[in-house]
Amino acid sequence: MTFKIHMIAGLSLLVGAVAACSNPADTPTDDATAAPQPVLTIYSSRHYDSDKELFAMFEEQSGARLDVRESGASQLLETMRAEGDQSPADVIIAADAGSLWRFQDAGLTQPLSSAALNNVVPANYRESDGNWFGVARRIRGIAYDPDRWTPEELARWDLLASEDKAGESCVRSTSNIYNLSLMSELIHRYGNEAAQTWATAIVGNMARNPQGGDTDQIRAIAAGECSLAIVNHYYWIRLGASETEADQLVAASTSFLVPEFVEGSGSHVNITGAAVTTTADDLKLAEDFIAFLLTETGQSYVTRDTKELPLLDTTALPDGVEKVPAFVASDTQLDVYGENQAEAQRLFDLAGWN
Amino acid sequence: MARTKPKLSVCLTSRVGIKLKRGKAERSMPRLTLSFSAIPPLLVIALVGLPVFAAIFAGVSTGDGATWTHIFENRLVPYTATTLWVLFLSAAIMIALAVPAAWLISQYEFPGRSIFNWALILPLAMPGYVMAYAWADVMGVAGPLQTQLREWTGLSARDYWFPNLFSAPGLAFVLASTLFPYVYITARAAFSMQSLATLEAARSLGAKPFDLFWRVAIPVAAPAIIGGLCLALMEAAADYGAADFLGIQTLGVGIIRSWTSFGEPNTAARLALMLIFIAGTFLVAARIFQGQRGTQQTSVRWRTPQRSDMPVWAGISAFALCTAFLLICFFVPMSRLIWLLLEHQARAPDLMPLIRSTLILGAMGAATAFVAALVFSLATKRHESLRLGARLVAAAGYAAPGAVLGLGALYILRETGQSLSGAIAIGFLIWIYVSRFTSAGVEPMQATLARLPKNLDQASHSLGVTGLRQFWRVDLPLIAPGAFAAALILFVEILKELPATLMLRPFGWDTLAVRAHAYATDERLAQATLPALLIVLAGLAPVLLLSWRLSQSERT
Amino acid sequence: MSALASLIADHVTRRFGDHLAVDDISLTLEPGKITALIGSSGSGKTTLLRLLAGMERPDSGRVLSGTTQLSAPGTFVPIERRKIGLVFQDFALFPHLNALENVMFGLRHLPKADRATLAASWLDRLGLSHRRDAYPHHLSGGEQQRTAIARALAPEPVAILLDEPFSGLDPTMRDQVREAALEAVRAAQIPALLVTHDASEALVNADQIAIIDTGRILQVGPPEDLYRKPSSLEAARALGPVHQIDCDQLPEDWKQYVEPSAKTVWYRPEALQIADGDRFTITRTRLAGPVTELELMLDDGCPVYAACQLGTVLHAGDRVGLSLDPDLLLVF
Repeated sequence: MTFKIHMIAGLSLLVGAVAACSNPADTPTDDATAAPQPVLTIYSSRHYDSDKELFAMFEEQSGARLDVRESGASQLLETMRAEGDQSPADVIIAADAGSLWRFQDAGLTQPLSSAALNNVVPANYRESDGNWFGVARRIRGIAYDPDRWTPEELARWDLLASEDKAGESCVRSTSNIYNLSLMSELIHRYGNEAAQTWATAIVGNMARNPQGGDTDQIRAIAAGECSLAIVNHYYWIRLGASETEADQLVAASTSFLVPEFVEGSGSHVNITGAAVTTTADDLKLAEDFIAFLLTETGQSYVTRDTKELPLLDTTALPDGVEKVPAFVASDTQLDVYGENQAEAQRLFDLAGWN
Repeated sequence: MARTKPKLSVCLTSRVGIKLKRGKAERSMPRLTLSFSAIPPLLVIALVGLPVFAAIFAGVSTGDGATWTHIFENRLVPYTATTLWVLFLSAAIMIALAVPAAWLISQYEFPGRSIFNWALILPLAMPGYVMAYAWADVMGVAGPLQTQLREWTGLSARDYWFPNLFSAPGLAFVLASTLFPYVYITARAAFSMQSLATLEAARSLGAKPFDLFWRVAIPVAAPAIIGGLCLALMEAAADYGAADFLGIQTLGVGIIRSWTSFGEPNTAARLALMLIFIAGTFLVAARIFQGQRGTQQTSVRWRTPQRSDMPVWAGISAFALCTAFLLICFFVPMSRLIWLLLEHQARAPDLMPLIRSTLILGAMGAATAFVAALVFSLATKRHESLRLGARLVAAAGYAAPGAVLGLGALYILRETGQSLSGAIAIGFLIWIYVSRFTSAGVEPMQATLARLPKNLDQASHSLGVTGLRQFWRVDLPLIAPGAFAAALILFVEILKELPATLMLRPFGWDTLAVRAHAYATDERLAQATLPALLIVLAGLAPVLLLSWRLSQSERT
Repeated sequence: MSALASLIADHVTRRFGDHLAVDDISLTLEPGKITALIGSSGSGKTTLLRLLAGMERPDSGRVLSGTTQLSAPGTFVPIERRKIGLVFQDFALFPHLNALENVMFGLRHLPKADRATLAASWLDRLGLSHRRDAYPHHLSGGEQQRTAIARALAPEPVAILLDEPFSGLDPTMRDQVREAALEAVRAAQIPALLVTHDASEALVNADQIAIIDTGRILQVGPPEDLYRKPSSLEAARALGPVHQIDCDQLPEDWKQYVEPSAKTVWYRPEALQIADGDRFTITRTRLAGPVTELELMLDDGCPVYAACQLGTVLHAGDRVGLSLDPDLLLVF
């Protein structure tokens, strides 16, 4: 008998929860009598705590409510495709130009002609028709053991492939988009064959199979398992800024530099960007949001905890980011990162770079 | 023979899932052998199977992408080979862990036995990816073990060999340590159910303790053990989080990669077909193995054998063995996570909404999947053909990775012209949970049903109790122990679920798993520990309850 | 341990908590003889069997095979080394092995080739050679029990203990199976214990009967002795129905068979047979196969019971006479 009681109780829970499921995250609005609160729906592939503060700040400032779905870029893309015209998404935030391109390519973004935004964002950090705008920069560079290498030995990407680097490098898996974007630019500059050769040589120089994330690679340098690693700048910065002594030691024992492709070519730069979707209701609100991200306040929230570089050099750098050496961005159009992504993965597969 | 009234069976099905259409009150045609009682299982079969088939159908029906050719030629064989190798190693480790432990605990008295009895189920509460993070941290080149080693010996990191977790055996170990409780539970139940008389007969024929284990207990318990092993292996095959983290190129990883890197979800669906095929092979192999051999004891007396004493040295060894298992599979990773948490003074803001979402989704998903499993187990008793179909469909759902089922859900979403918000999102998510996990609920129920005398149905009918009344008054109470276990297992599984939840959850419904994953992929393992520990904690209560309940039922 | 040694329980006692299951029992099982151990549920017969088999340790006393001590203070030979065959009421066959493999189970000490041959010959002997490859769940009850007996006898044990082996069988085949089984047991020439609650089974098949009640042996001896000269009322009841009659209610001509000082006398129902006369009125008749059980009343209302082979059919209300066989009177 007790089993039946339990079962009935369990099923009542189900029914009750379904009834109660009408959005428990709903915050009751005070102005029930006033005009309905505008809602901006954001699909973001970022997942940082500081973003929550960012959104809260914008909500306060604009009076709008922000509904945020955080998930992987591919999942978001597929979700939007499935939702079609019904999709509630207004703005997309993605942490890599390759991802942004994919959204555009899928016809999910719309061109935003905004003189204000075009003024703020340099041309090479936005899509020419306004399909997406960069809001922060992220650099893929090389962390290394300064006792083993001088900056000159690592100044160019092709130097990593040379034989003297055998058994010295640690890199993460290619399932991560950062490596794919770098490879995309290499394909663009040097063609498939050369890019594959480069990748094969890198695999040959690996001290160990790709494992873990960028931070693990830096830690491996400090532990002595390898002497150089391809990492995003902010992981190195975060180690230095950590409250844990062990992390600070790791950062202190390593250095970071930003290589070029050939002398004077500039370096591989990636962006975090925002785009307006084709299903956006309130274009003005969307534009306001993107503009907000580019204000001094917005930039500080976007980059404070992530340690990315603000979009413009003129904006204040978050703590610790000043350690990133000066660099010049390469002139490759960021669209390339997305266009070549599938090919990049294919070449990585053929090179044996897991 | 009394017919079930159509209204009532529809009432039952309307409980099952939110997206169900009302059953039609068909007139049963004379030539059909199915009666009204077939409607609930048919509807549930449709419910469970639709997402899988939607995904597969979409994958197969769209044209070959360039990626598919590349994957087919270059990656399919390595992915499959790696997956099979990892599964083989996992199976070996799981059996090595679970079967001796189950045997010792069910047959002998030794210090700590009553604690190990329930404690060995604890690892079930840990998601595979969390186990991977924890052990990677412990075993890594920068972790405590290697660092200590370097300090003691003065060697540099490249000079010594250290077991590498980031390898196929490492992945097998990680998966095995979280999944072996499935095998342990079924093995323990099988060993406890032995006829005392059979064992004594064996002893009278000269069988020593090891002979008893090897020649009598294992062969009889083998089908049950294989059943638990199949469940665990299907779960292992569908894993993505641990495999990706450890850098092992399994089918699960390939599936996600073909989607995220190549941008071809249809290719992902095709690779999932391979996984499902492998799972199907397991199931078929298990049934063939069961084949001719009998499993029902000829003894009518199901007395639980009294546990025998062991000599002191043996008792201490048993204690040490079980302690080692528990340490490796639970306490070491857990304490590492706790240490990380404290060391980095990680703060994770605002966990209450996460906890609430996690528990509510878990409860809703578990309840719905429970009803589906119930329908599968009970209503298919009368329709053998439906039973086979039900189990196949449930197995396909279980074998398919959560991400693929999510894809299937999205295709269905597109067809129905909805958007992923509010109640619709919850509905789809619960639906995917049902599709994915019903199999895990069916297994314990089937195990209970198998132990019942075969002619209970006839006895019931002869007393005039048929149809829905029988379901309510006879079937349900009898299946209670298995059903209870099923409910708990379902709850824990859904707590741990990541990929489908990541894709389908409505706004503001982040779960602990989602948050832990976010931190971990952002390489903030320290922050990830708190939600990860909470997942384990949330799962501990049902796991303990399950364990207590199982040991209760064994005593009868 | 030679096959011609007796299996002996020597003053064994076994207690479970407060309950004294076996109370200072001594019993000798001689080789080549079947000893039936008969008693009601809870009398301790199963416990005694388990003590002999080595499944339980006695609290005091010894178990010996010939002169070898199996259980004694300071010594305990476990089951697997006693070489005593066991046969259970529920057969306890190994479900994952077919009949031949079941019988082969205890033959590990033989070379491989011989195992199958020996097992096959045993199955043959018990009439099961055509069922060699069948699994237990495909065998009938009688076939399973015969397989169990073959399995127990094949390793040539020093003794065999059977715990109500035939009570789980269909009555129609029970006799057949029992006969075949016990014939094989006898042929083995080892001590055999047959635990049963069925008196007729014991009486027909045993060479020696031991009656057990609340942990004590009431009487041991050949069946005829125990049947005709039970040492107590309980012993008498164990082997068949016993009825009571007060001596002052006896018909006059029967009083001569009884001690003058006796108050009550007991008798087996077959002590009374139909004879000439009409002093008794039949109150009930019940056909029990070859014999009809009658309840009758003496004129003065004293009820008596008889079990007779009837030539003609009798009904309730008929008046008959009864003769008493004084050998079947029991006096305690």
